[in-house]
Amino acid sequence: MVALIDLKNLEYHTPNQECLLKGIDFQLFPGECVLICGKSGSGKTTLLNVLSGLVPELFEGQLAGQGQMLGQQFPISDFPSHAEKIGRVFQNPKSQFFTSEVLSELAFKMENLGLSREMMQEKIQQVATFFEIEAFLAQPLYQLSGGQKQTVAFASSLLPACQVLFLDEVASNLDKTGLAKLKQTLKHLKRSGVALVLVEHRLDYCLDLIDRIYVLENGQLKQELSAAELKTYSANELAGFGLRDWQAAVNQLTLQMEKKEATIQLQLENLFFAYPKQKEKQIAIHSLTLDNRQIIGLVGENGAGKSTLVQLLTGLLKAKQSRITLNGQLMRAKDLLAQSFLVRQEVSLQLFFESVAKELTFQAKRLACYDEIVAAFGLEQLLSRHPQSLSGGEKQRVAIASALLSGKTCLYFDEPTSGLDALQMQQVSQQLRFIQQNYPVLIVVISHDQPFLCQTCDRILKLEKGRITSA
Amino acid sequence: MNKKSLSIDPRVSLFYVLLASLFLIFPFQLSVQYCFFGVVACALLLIGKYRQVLYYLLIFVVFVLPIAIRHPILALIRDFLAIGFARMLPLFMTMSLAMDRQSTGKWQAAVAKMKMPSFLFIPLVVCIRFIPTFIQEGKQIAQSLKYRGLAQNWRQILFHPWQFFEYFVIPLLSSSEQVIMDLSSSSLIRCIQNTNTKTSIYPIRLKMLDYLLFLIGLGMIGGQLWLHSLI
Amino acid sequence: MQRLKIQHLIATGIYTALYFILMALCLLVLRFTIPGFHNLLLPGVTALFTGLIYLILIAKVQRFGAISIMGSVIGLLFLMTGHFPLAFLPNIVAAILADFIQFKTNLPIKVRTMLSYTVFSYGLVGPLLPLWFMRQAYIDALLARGKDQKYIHFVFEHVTQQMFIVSLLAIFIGSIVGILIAFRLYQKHFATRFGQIYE
Repeated sequence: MVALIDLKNLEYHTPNQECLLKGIDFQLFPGECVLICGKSGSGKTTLLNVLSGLVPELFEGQLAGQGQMLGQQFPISDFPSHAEKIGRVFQNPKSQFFTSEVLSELAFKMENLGLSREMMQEKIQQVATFFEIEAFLAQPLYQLSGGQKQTVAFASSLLPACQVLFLDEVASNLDKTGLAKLKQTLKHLKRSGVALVLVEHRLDYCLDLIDRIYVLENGQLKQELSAAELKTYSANELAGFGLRDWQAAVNQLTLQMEKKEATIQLQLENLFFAYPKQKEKQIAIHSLTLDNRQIIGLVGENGAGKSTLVQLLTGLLKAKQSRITLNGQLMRAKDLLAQSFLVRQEVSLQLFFESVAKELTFQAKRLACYDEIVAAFGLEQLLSRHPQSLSGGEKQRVAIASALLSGKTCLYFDEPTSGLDALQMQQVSQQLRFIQQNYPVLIVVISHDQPFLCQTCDRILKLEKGRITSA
Repeated sequence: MNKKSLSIDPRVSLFYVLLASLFLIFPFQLSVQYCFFGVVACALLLIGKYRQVLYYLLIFVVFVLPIAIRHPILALIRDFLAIGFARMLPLFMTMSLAMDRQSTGKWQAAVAKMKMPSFLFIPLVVCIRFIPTFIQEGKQIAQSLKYRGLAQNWRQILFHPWQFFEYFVIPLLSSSEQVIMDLSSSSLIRCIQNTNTKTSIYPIRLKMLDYLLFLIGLGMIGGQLWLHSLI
Repeated sequence: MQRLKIQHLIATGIYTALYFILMALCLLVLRFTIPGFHNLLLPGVTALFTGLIYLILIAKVQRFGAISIMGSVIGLLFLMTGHFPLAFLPNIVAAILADFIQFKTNLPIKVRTMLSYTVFSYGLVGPLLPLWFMRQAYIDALLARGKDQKYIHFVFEHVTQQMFIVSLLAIFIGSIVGILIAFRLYQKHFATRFGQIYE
């Protein structure tokens, strides 16, 4: 079989002479699925950019190496013909949508290649049927849910068909049904001869599909393994590769560290809520008690009402007949707002100041514990940096630390581990545990991340269509 | 593919917008104004915007039709406002005609067909695409500000406008960084820089309705000039 | 224009989106605080707040073309949102002029930027142009309703002229103050990441 990509001694230097990749050998055959993994910052996305031909088309720098990519000698000189044969799906749909409508988005690449309308319509129909998105072909993108957007992004990368598909952490925001569909799609692509290059931290959905693994560390190739070899590694060794343990017990809460006494207790009664224009109740909970003896996880499919519930609990939304008390005191929405804090998924949108120190200390009520918290979250070196210039993981640590320093008693976390590698995920888990053990704070975590939930939470609340189904 | 109501080619709606703006510069005969209102109202009905037609009809009846009002002060106010409303009404109506939400893609195709150079076309499309995204993110920022205790009430915002500007714009600008590179990557891989002739998924073909509206529009200009020459 | 790559075009589009949203916000606030006169002060108030976006655009692209494109796209958006069709001309003309000042002259950087931003902001007068024509319409219509209204029209004529001058002055003051504030904000938040361009 002729290799689609065959590179030796790949080296990449930025214009500032920083060496991002060195001594990398990479091969790819049709119908193969290759995983690129490594800790955050090891160069995975950079390698993907090189393989996509975006270096030096978009990213400046010097490339060196021998071999070929899809028939062109490396480094390639004809980017357009390389681009025709590949597809790429990003983690965040927001970053890849060029137009505002589903149909335009699906047709985008084909329009640029000059395909006839009849051919475009035929291909779109095929793909739409496969992904089951015929229903919203005519809709604008902003009306779709996150999972639907990711499906559209995926579908559009396959129009027209490509020889190599690059997938950059695409599973991060998917729930169980989304993951199942993703797995099915990848299997189908493999069978039709498309080569897949995955960058991932999690193995649970893709281990059966992967043929070979490249492990990167500090821009260099640390190891090349087959899937069979990878299965023999222990969880710790996997973490060293930046990979999550794929064997983690999915349904059991492994670590339960309950506190003896509840110092914060939130009680809900008659929480019924419907959005103004809808008849059906979005949330319908008769009674619920949450306290800080346990870290509480909130799970549920997309659309089950998790964000709505959190908005009600934190006072952003009001439910008329409900009765919410905190430690016995009746709370109105305003009071809840004063006592609650939500650390959202997109961390950039909640950092407002010009230095980490200011971000942490602004209106902070727990200033007495400032040094302790800064040390616990490893922020000493970052105090004078601008929060927006930090890496994703660092930003999140700042957000969580500022939540804690704010002095609020109820902390909510929305998908705190999406996109984090194994080590970072463990760190978040430890941070939450640290908070729970040392401060009088109620912690509720919304997450899809099963291993994380098992490791971190003592109690899981499952939300289905606005109702709690298991406590 | 909206099958419920008809749609109008963006080039024709653009023509009507231009026509409506002529109303601002030149005084048109009342008969032509009535005619214009009638045509655009029918067009709006055809594309399904019933509520808006009612609203415009109300403005038309109150401000454009020369109905006498007994009360002297009310009459004065109405006369004062009438000039503004009567002049702006055509523009508002054609704006509604042009902003048929479901046809942004068709707009793009029509614009591309009008041979707008790509260095204008790409920023325009990206700008339009990101306006709703930024608005949504702005709402999220507002929520986070509430949690931080930074945005309690409107008075705060009004007295410290730059503070709030800072709170909103800095995160949005910073989060745009990554988006710019990712979107550039994605567009390049989807062959945006190809120089061959591009096709369009949307059929850009003028239909009977478009030709009809275009001819009526020309007719109104002609009618106005003819009436004007009679004076 | 050939030296503008795809990431510059996309960046321009994104920053223009932010600019436009800020302008819309200013319009909303003005509409509530001074209804009726909101259009007159809109360019000035917009200039007051959008300085930072202008600075970031220049810092990101650093070549001729981006400012012209941003002005043109804003003009096109005016056209598409139903403003007076010739409203987009001032935008394009002012933007190209501003671009020239920014990248084809050799004045000290701060002066250059202040000047180009002010010229750019004057491009926003497009939507005000109808007022000139409206004025004529008002006068015509009022005259037609009877000569005893002549004194109203006389007063009105003066008022409109003064208003227009106020608007132009507001743009000047708004631009200068706006860009100075923007320089400070840039130093505070972006200088380390994007470079000390404005020193």
